[in-house]
Amino acid sequence: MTEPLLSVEGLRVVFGQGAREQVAVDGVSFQVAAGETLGIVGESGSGKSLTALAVLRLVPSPPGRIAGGRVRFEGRDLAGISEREMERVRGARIGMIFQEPMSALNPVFTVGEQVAEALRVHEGLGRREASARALALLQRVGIADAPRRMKQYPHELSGGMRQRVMIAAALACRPSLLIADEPTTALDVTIQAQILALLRELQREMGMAVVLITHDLGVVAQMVDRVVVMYGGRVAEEGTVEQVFGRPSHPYTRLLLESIPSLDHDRDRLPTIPGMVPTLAELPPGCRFHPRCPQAMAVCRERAPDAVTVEPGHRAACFALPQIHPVEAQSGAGA
Amino acid sequence: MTAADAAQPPAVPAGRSLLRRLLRHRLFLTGSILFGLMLVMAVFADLIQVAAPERMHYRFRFQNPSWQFPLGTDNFGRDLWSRLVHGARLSLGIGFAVVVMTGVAGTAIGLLSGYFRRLDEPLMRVMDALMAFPAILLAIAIAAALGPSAINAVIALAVVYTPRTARIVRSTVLVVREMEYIQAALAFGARHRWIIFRHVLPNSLAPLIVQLTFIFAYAVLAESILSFLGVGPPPPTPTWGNMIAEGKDYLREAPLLALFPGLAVMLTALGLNILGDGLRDVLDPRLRVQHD
Repeated sequence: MTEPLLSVEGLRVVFGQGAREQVAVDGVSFQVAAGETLGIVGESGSGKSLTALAVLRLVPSPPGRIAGGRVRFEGRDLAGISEREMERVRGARIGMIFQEPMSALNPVFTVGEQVAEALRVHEGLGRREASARALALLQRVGIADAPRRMKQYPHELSGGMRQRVMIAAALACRPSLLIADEPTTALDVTIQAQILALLRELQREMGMAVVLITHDLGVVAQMVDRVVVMYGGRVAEEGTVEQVFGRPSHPYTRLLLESIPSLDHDRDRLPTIPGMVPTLAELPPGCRFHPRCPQAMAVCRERAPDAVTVEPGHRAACFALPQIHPVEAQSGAGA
Repeated sequence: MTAADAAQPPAVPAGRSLLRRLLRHRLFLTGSILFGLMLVMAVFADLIQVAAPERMHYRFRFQNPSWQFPLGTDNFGRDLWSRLVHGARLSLGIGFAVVVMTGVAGTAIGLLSGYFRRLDEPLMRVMDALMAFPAILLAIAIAAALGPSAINAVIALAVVYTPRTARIVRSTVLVVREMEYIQAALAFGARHRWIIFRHVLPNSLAPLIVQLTFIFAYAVLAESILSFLGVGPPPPTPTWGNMIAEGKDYLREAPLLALFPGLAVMLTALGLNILGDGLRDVLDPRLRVQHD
């Protein structure tokens, strides 16, 4: 098997120092093959966005820092390269789009200038060339009347159009990996579908891999090949969409899936998961999910479960699972 | 005000509509006319003078306003109008130089300490130390130590007003640097220098511009105070402060000698202040509440 495009191993991101140190991402591992789409799902505060920022080495520091783990991308260890080289990776090899197309565009520049920005930074293009390329990109992402639109400011565009602009800017240098952090959360449902369709289309066309971060399980089901379910800074379950959605192994995943409204079940009340995602300051010991878990056992309070292979390519971290194939314990042990 | 409003920095709107909104603003218009008149006086001083400002007409001392001497003459028989317009040139010139120096230094310090959090503590403690002294006292001390001259007055005033400007720029930068487009620019691989000049600075300009108009007003006022106390440009240089200082000895006999330069200082400061208020209303309406 060839080396995956991106491989994250035992990633740890912590905030604060010494006794006040809080672990926000705790031993997260996953891999993305070239051209593949990986979904990272989790509630707010599960560490999914931070994981993405850590891949780009953009964790706000201070107070945060990457305390451990390896990130390999295109055969290089991103932790080991200089800041200069990292700048050449960001935007050029890994593109990123954000949740709020509203605030992710600078209000004082026209959208054309902002799409051209990455080209000017990375490819050293002059103003005119960059602007011509930006026009082509804006047309490619489906902005009607692009020559006029590119001279407008972000506040003159609708949310969906702004997200298209963001996509154009992120893909300007044809990255091999696109990280999309909740790209459709701020948009209404019809626009959401259009943006997702556009992303899929561009992904096929450019052959790039996509890491899609979302809390919308519907989006995941439509878009991705494999899913990583995160809870409390750790990976709860990982596998293909069919595996994780069809045969969920972790109690958290099961509860998540049950809380989706469904058309074929006639239910008065939608099941919810009791309690809330713990804040960093009050992370429970042992398995992070045990206070909310209906199957919690004594051991869950004491130790963090290691990932167990449920079936080939499908792993989950739960003591309730039959321990058939114990996997090399790397995730929890690094703490 | 919602959190989203507070987080969104004021956008500097496109040129034409900005100008239109400014011209529709009555305060701004009044202020710019007042200040504009002073500016015209300063720029065309050589054309509208009736005599050289230092030329003494011994036979015409303490003249009342007349066709020959529009505002009368002083104790040396120098034409007051001519001195006033040349004084405008110097006083506004000093004010402008202070604005430029303060603007550059204050922006640089504010950007550095707001953007690079490690520099924040050391830089801001130095600024605090400077702000601990009453502004005008510190300016007098610096000007006195450097010796009386126009350039030294500019330096003294710039040192005094830089901390305030730096603080204002810093506080805007602190808001702007948390904007998602800064994160986006980082994710596009932009360097810090690029981000600071292309993203942070343009979005921090509005409060700075407003602040600089007020600094202009303070500087004109402070310059006349320095001159009045004898630590500004030395006489017979016609600055407004010098003219007031010389005129005060004859306040009873010839009140106009101190009155006209005093009025000039007042109208300039007034004009700049209401111009700044108008600018603030248009550029950054959110600041209105805090300032009043």
